[in-house]
Amino acid sequence: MPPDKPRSTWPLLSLNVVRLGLYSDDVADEQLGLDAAAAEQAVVSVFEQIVAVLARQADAAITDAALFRLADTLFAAFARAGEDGLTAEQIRSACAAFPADVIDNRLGVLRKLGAIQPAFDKPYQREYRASFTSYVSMLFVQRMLARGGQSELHQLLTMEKIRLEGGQGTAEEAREVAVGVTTALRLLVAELVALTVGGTVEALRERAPLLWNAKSLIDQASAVHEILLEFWPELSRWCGELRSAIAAYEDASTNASARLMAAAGTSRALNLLPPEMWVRFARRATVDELAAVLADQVFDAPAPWHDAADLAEAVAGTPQPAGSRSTPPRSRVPDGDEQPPEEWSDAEAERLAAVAEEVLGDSDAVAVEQLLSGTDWVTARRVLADLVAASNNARLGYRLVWSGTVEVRPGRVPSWLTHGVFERVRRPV
Amino acid sequence: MSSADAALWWARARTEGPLRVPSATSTPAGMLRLVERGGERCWLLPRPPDDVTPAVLRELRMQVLPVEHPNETSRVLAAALRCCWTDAQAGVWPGQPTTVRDVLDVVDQLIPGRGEEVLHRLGTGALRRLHASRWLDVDDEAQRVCLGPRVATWPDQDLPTLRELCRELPSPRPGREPDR
Repeated sequence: MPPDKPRSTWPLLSLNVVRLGLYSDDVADEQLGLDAAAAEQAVVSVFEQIVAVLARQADAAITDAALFRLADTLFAAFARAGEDGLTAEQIRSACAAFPADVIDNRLGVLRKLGAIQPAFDKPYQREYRASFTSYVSMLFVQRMLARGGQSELHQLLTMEKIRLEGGQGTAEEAREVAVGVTTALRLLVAELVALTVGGTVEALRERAPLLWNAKSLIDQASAVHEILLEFWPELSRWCGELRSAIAAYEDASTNASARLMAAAGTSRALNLLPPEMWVRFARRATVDELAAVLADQVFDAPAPWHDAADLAEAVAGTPQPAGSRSTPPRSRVPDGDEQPPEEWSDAEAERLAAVAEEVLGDSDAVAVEQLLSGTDWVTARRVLADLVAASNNARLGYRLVWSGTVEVRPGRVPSWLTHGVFERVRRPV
Repeated sequence: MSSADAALWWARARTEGPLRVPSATSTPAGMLRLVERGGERCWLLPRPPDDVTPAVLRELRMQVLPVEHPNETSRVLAAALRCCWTDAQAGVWPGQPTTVRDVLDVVDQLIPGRGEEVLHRLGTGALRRLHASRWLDVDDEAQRVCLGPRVATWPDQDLPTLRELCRELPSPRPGREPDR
């Protein structure tokens, strides 16, 4: 990333949202949304990093993935057109999905940089042809986008290894390989260390592909190093640097993995995710995904509930001396036929089965509304609790199936009702 | 207020918990409105029908949100209730302001023999948690404790239990400096 680019993505993101908004009128199937904008932003950021070494000015790279798609459409059109090339009008009609001024602008840039050239070198030439090199570089960019620079480094190392193994190549070429690999590894280390030491776990997790196959990358680099040292002993100084770079990468990847694993460990152990993950999810999730989170929540704005009974219990209970056993938790509502704890689960299942059979009678399904109506809420919710418990008990073959709508019935019990059916589960025999 | 507006208020309350709004705001359907002592602002809380509280989660054998140091937190809440709920015949909300010292003094009497430092550390942690979940309103600067809007969501049938609890709890010892 060029140094004068802001690290924060938010201003860029908002710009992109505006831009996407403009295009969404013209570009078919363009979904406007924060998730789309975030994905675009990630793509554009990789583009910028790739072309950074070639760009003359920081804002010279495209800032919008749509422009990349335009170039793709353009090259496809050129490929179809064959050796005759395309006129400017034909180009415009091929890219009709994009706004005219955007096409003109792109044509100007591509022509200037030689990605499209006049088909014949004569005045008033109207046909253009596309450059093979530019298209191949586009394929390369797409591959970088999909797999990141690290796999490129893998392939480079493999290729260099094959080339050097034959003992072909001069000492000068071998030295260049050593220097190139050393520099690439050092940059990789610098990025990893910065993420491990200073970055958030979330940022580290996003860049985790840097850690994939670290072992095989180290092995390959070591193999190249050995070949270099074997064939060109005079390069021992460069080899020394390469060795230290490999060792540094080994350390950095071990530390980064350790941090990732530590973070994963804590978030696995508790049902708490790191706050960055929530923020990221909230930003990237679609409306449906966000809604799904809330779908099975009964009470949220998660704040602990302090029941009056809990308060009384806490006040009554003096602190237990260490090592003594506390009583197992039990329901606040006393159950008349409560069983001793050791028989609890079986007795509970039996009781639930009895309740379920009583409710179902001879039929296989019964509407929940029918069961809850005509009683007061205190009774109704006991029934509901039993049905839910029976449905949740894996050993019992009953389930509650809810429909989506909620009926609001002021003055009746229950006053909010979701229609549902309590039914027998048919088990395959 | 249109039903769309009411739905928005509900969604806001779902994400943020109790909402503190200017008193001029009209009450959305199904929400509880609690005017603060000053009268300038009021709290809006979702009021589920039929006096249902999150306690029902336990009946449904679903997991409730865990509290850190549940017993200590409950004791501090009970102590704050003892200090703030002076008129036992009235509802819990809004109660009278009290001080952090008084609340901790009641806790200290409940469990005597703990050092000042331990009491302070556990007590402050519990007050902070209760403040965050809006059970209490704790002003650290002024060392002042008021009841938070959530106490108004205790259903009426729990009030006798709470009154009994307040009767049992010792009152704060006046003018007594915490032992150093």
